[in-house]
Amino acid sequence: MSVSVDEQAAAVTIYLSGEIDLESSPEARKALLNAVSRKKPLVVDLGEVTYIDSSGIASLVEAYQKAKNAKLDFVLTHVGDGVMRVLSLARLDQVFPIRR
Amino acid sequence: MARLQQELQYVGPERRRAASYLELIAELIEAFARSDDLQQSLSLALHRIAAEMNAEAAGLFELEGDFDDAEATLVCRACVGPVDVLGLEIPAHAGIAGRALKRNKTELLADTARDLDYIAPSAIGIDYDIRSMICAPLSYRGERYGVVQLFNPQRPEARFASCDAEVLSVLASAAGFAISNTRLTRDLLEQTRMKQELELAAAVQRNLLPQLAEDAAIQGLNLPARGVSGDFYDVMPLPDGRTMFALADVSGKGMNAALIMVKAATLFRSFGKRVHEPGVLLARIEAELCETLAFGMFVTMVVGVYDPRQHSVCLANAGHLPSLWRDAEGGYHEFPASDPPLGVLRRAARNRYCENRFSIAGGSLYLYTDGATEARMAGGVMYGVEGLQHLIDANAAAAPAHRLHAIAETLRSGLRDDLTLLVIEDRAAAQPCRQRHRRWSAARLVAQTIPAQAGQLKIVRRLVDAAGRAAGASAEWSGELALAVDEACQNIIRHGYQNCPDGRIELSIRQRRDALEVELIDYAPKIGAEACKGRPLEQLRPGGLGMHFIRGLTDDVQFRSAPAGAGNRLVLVKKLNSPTHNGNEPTDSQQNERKRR
Repeated sequence: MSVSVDEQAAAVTIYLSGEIDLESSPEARKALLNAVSRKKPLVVDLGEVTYIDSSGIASLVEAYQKAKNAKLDFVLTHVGDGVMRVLSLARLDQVFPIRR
Repeated sequence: MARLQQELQYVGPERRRAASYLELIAELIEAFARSDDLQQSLSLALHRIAAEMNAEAAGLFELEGDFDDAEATLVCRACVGPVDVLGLEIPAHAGIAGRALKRNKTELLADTARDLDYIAPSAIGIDYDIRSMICAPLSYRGERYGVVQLFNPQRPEARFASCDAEVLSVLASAAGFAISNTRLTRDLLEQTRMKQELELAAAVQRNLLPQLAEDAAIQGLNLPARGVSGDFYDVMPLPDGRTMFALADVSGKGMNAALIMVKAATLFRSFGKRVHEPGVLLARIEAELCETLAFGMFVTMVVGVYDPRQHSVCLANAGHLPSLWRDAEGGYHEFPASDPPLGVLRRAARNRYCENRFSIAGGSLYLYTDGATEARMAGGVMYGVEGLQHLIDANAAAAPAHRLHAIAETLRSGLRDDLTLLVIEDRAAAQPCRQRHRRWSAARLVAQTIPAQAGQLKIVRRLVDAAGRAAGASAEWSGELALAVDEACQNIIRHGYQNCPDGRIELSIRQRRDALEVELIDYAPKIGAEACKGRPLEQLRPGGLGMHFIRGLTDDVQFRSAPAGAGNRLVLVKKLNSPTHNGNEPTDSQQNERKRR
């Protein structure tokens, strides 16, 4: 998995790619929480994610809750079919703002 | 004539000395040039110099080691005088000799008592008093070979003068030149001898590689970057019709790597005759290799057994690059190492490495060394695994032996390292899917022991995915099962073993008539089925989704009684015809869950 961050004046975009699993999700979680601490609207681009498990979903949920508490916008973009299946399995497709 | 004689009478003693020195210089230079035995010539020269220059004692010291090394020493190789110091070793950076070497300049001490760097022989227990001395470095073009020293002029009141120092300086230069020539000749001879030996060693290595029939299903190829190789492969038919194979890469290059390679290859041959389980064989090889492996060296190695009747392989991989399976449809699946390289952990007592059994029905399994993936294309970019896959695809129609040669020919110009390739081609390739299913019914597709570590989950997913594909299921179906098994393994790692990395998980996958059955056995403390229910999804919080995923993605989850000594046995069943989950069509288990709510 790899993470890259693009911080603009208006928003922070995090690009996650590869396989987010138990081994790599701590890195994803750290990057997401860091981004929330920038106090800007957050865009999480999942276009290059080829696999995500419950620990990866948990990192997204935690970042989403922190962003919501801080009254920051939080949106998932480029959600592929594979990731979408996992989100819907966890019934999170109705919770996360998703821009496909 | 009379006038000449008269003039000669008036030539002072200094001039006469200089004239005889010139003769000495000419004589010694010629002697060095003619010499076959430099050591002897230097020793004779020292005696002539000492006599001609009226020195009471003289010594020739050779530099041992590199002068840049603070520990370098000077060893006495020849001496003249009242005390025999042959073999005496003194530091190369101390005293007058050290100064002469450092400055690469002749040092004249008319009176030793006036020089602060002077160290008296009594300081090292030698009973000899030096009043006056000259020390000249033996060097040529900045390369230092040692020093020559003269001690005490014969007459008790005399001191050495600057003309003496100049003469010794010239003689030392001639000696330095002679030493340099001798060493160059010696190095050249040594190089020629080494080259011949390298060629012999390379020939011996080539003979270690197996002779394979050109139409055999298993083919290998080794292309050393230099004369000798740190890679090897071997293929060994077993009495029961199966074939054992191995491929290894020794860390480092050159002769030391080549020697270790020969040892590893020999161990594989000799143990392989009796031990036919790859994981056990690797452990035996490691135990023997460790005894002689220099610290910091290691060997990455894959050992496998191919069963042509079952169309399956069983692999054990110690730190080597992932094995690459190209399935019948041309899709690639990687099987990474599940253990560290041989010689890293040095756990002599370890009795087996993880084994990984899977079907290669209808496809080919490729083993390769990093020479293949690190070869450079024309623009300097590395081929990588993708590049290798392209080369395999481009030559897929060729017979295995020709295919490997074609790949090697493409890589050859960009090679930076030894290149070794091995291919195991399954010949039951063209069978229709339905027939393959029957062949596989109730067959065990995977049986592997995996360390209970987060980094291993990728391997688990590959294994499950490959088993699903082998059973004829779609990529989506296989991916769902892989996610469910991944989640179950996560629970074992996090809750069972509490993240302790020493635990292990035994994974096996069987094909039933209409389903795949995945069994996970762990050795963690027993847990009740109650603890594995999962939480209601209405609460939005980060954790606790795993069990929900497992139940949502499979058709049945069973906690069966564990075998003796084990902690838990979890069995996941997923029907081959169960629809994949796409968010709109819930599976049966999800419908049940909705009904319960």
